Amino acid sequence: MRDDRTIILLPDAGPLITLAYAHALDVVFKPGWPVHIVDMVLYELTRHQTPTSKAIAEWVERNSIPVVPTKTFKHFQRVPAAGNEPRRKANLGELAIQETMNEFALNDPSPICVFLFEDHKIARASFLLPDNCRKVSTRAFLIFLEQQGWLASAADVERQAIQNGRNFSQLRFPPSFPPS
Amino acid sequence: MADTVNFTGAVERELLKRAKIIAAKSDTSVNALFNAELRYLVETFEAAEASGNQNFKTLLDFSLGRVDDQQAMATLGIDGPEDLFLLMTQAHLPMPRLPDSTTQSMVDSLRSLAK
Repeated sequence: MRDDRTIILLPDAGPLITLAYAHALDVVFKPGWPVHIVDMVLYELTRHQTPTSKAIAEWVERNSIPVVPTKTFKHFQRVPAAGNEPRRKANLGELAIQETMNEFALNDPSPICVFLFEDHKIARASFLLPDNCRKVSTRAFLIFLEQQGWLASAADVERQAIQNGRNFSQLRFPPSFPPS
Repeated sequence: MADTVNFTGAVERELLKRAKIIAAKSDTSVNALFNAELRYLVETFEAAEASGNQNFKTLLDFSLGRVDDQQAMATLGIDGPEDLFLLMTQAHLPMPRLPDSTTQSMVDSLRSLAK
């Protein structure tokens, strides 16, 4: 039976970074599903100046992508940094995504939410996945687009991202960590 | 010329197909490409190890799925997924990959939504 619920696509930071390097952010619009971004994810992508931070911030603004507010991000903003110690950020993106999954699951009717992650995040993160949510990798999404005829080549997008990442020479290997 | 030995290994069908195309375009063999990449990996690993730098090993462990992204970033002293992505590309290491069967089931799930 056909499911007529709204489908919303929510990319995590990793997929947007990959697509930004491939100059292919707009492929997320190909299925015609509304795209939303979680506030903590957007913050993680744009808090520092990186090769993609400006492009992603402008892309979000240009396409009027709705930013999903979370208590996690609100809490993060409220807790001040202690002295010179940076505020704790580890796992906050995932907490915010889990919170978003829960919130969407409680909506009536609940939309179908497709969360886009990189492979390693799918392998690691143990989200409690509500029935209305799907976890999908960037690679699976690109293959899907190719099979639907919306993208010439999934492999080309991945290859372009890697090539452009290699060409970016500003970042150096960090020194041995922790320092001896 | 260095001594060579034959050995048996397994490679993804699609990856081998792509390697054959690159070999043909580069007027070389898959064997030569494999040797060049393996040499790069071995020499980079050994050079890093000799200088007491564990960064390449950490990236290799991440690529092979032996440590997760958060462990890798903590060990490397970096702060975000973009830095990790850039280091992986510079190290010529692939990002970790889920098994093809897992990827295919996600593709199938998306196709069922698009019907």
